[in-house]
Amino acid sequence: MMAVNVYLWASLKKFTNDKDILTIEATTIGELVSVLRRDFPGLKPFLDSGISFAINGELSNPNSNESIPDESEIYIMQKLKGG
Amino acid sequence: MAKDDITKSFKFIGTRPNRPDGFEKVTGRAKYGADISAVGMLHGAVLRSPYAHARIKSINFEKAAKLDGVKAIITRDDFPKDREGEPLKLLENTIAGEIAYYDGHAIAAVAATSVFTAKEALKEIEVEYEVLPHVIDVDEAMKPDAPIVRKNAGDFSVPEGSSPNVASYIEFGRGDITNGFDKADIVKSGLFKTEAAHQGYIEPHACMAQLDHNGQGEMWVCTQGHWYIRQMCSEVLDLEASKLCVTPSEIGGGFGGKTTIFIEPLALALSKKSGGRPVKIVMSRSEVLRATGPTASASMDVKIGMTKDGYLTAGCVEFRMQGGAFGGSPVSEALQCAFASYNMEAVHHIGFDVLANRPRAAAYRAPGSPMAAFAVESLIDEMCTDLDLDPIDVRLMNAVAEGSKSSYGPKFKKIGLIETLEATKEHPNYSIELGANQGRGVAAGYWMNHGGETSVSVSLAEDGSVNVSVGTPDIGGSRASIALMTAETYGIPYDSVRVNILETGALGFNEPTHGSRATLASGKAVYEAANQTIAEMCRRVAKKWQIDPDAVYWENGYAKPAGPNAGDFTPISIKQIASEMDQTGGPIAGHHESSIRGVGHSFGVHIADVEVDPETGRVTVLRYLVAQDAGRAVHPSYVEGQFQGGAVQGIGWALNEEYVYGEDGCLQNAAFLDYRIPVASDLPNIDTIIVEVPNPDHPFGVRGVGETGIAPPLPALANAVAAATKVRLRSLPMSPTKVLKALKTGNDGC
Amino acid sequence: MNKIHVKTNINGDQVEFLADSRETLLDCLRDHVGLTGSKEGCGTGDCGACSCIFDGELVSSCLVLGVEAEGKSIETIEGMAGQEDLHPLQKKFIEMAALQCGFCTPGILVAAKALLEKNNNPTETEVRYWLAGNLCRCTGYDKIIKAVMETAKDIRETA
Ligand code: FES
Ligand code: FES
Repeated sequence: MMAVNVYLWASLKKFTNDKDILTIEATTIGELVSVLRRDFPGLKPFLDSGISFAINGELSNPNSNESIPDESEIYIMQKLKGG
Repeated sequence: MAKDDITKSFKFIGTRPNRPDGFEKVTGRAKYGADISAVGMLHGAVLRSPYAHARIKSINFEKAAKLDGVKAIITRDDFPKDREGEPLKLLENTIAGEIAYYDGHAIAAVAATSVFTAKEALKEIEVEYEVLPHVIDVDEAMKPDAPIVRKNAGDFSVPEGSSPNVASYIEFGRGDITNGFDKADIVKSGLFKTEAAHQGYIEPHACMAQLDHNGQGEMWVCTQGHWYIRQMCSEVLDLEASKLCVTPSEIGGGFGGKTTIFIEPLALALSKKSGGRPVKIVMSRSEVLRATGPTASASMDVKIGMTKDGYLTAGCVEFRMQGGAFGGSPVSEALQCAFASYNMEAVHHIGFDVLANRPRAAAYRAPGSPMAAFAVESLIDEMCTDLDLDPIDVRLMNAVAEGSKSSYGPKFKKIGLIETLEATKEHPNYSIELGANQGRGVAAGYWMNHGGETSVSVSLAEDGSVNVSVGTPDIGGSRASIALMTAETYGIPYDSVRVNILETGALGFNEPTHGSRATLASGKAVYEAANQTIAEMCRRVAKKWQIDPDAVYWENGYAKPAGPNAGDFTPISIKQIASEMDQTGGPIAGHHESSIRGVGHSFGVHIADVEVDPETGRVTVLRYLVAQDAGRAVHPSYVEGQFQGGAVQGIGWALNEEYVYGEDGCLQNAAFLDYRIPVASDLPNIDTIIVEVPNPDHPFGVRGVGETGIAPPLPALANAVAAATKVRLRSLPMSPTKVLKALKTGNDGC
Repeated sequence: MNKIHVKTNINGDQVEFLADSRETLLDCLRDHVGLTGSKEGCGTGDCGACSCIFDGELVSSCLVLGVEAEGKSIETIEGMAGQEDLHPLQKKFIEMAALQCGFCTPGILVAAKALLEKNNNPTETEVRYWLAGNLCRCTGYDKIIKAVMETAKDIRETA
């Protein structure tokens, strides 16, 4: 299994045992989200609220089938609005 | 070959042909939202709350229903009762249930045989209200004893002990803030405020809708995104999405304000209730101002540390933004933009999305970025002045570049902030001498841009011309830019491409023309789809030549043998291939659908020169320069147009535009006379520099240019006014009264 | 409500319609005559999207009653192009990208034509003040002003 680093906004630390960087074993965005859901149930409303991902600097809509390269840096952010 | 080498040798991209829809638009033939009628059509009108916050005790429409010509009256009772989450908020904002949450909130709607009858009927509807205490200002709404806008509105993120009007809370950052401020030679902080501004599109919302009893319906509507309209209307009315076909009209401006629903579900519900007759609703300007759009108002604390040579060591922001009664201010976007232009070791961001008795904020061009830029870029300018440093040099020293970690986390790929700063520095405007009462302001701005869900198709006509079908309404020349990219891909004349914008039934889901994505995303998708057809054409030619398809390549509108080994064949044109399609396997078409990736961030730098009249406080913009990284300008005229239009919206926000509320919580300036957007005589020419640092992840290097331009004007003008008067305004708009007061008392407006 | 019979000339054609006495000229043009090129941006005389020529005068047609059109002659955007070719202003607007969404464009073209017929050598300031009653939210006016100035120049050169 490959490990990726997931960076969360600090205001979510209260749901993740006070950690804002999580090392998670996942090869796709879908796996990543299910691990987060399993290990940190408090994140559910956040994960359900409309999020987007930045995988190694690339911003994109959530695509659960998208594969994540090993040792990726992943930022989870709120889904972007645009004018 | 590096991407940049490819992208320099374009034949069509970078040229300025006439837009394909120009003729219709200069002759009055183009059909906008209100320009369509149908046989048997009824006219809808909407009754709106005259109170900022009131319980609706009863609605009696007996008298109204008796009027001759009235065919249907709807209230919240005509909508599903079981909605929750976002669909419930959409429904609540479309039509009030038990409580009217803002002045202008829809209460009931009528469909009648004429507009006059519909309006008369509104007057006959009797509503009994119980007026409730209201709150308008964001800082007031944050107080623990503020009137409660909506009970239990706070989500999972809200810290304990917050005001009941806090809908959500966000916090992020990195580095050691205390240490960062310790390293600074000066640390400065300030409170900054901006008022709500409206997108101000000149075309009011309009739609014509038809819905039968089986839930099958059609709609014609001016919108930035008709799939959003379909989705939201289906959610609000509990319809099956595919049964609703939404056709976009031409659109008279949107700027984010036409990415959501307002009157559309009302028109559908009225149609259904009147037996499926088409119903048209056209908003008045005062309805537009009272009940649609605007952006959030903001109250922002900023603290920044700088060394004496101008390095930024640390920054903290706390933004409080009011986005109306249902939440949804762009506070997280504002935070992401706040320090995005700079390399800073330590940054900390806090944001509150706050409810108030105002219309639900809609997206407005680079949502959140202008407010953030105002606060941060103003404070940086104050520090440059204190330290006597050149504001462009300071920005150059701190500018993010490829590989920099952005203030919100992810690393930047190739970006063009440094190139943009250098271009402004070299521009003659930066060295023109200024006179008495004149000042110059510099500011940077940022928008991340967006790809989003996109579905397009491309088909070859029998004569070798090409039809392109996209789902992103053309709001400012995107037909032209998409046609240019198509022509470039095939190597056929621009005039041989026709770009059509199709209804929801004809393509897969498309996000709206928002997030600066139409040219970027539809362009990328069209490139993919066109290449499918090119591959197919090469296959058919290969069969004809009886060689391997790989031995055929495409260039300038011809299939050619790839090198001497492939054989000696005369290239075959797209025209010929198309004319033989029926005998070589049938129609040739391609399509592409995906969530488009590879967006390119766009940075801009503006320079404003102003003169402040010490007698009246009036600020005159003398000169204005916009420089921005476009990645690659597909049609430079429309790129300049985006820069100029964005800048002028920002100038309006900085100098004139604001939502003015009375003690009663009602909007006092719901007309263009009082909500004053810039007019031609207020402005100079807007000079532009298109910087081109190609986006490596787009086939043509495009970044998306629409949004960034609205952010820098707010601080650039505040900085220019400060330079001209030596007085700093930290509150927008810088209206003559406010400027005069500042000149007399030194008051910063907060 | 009794309707009033109105006989008028629009873009050179004799036109008749029945108007409610409360209807504006803009309403009548759009709803009774089918000329939807004139737009309603405000209905209060503040945006200029409804600009028309009413017996030789530039007006906001949202501030004129439909029944006032009786016996008058009216020019709208639909009458601006010739049979063969677009008006020079229309051509220049397309060439110089002086429109984005195009919603303000009919009103601005009608107003600009009225200016150039009075004065084919306006200064930039004169153009900016003449068009101050025509709101455009998309362009920042830059390209509009330049297109009007360029057209004026072309008109002078060919005159
Ligand atoms: S619609 Fe007539 S001036 Fe605005
Ligand atoms: S082009 Fe859109 S309002 Fe002028």
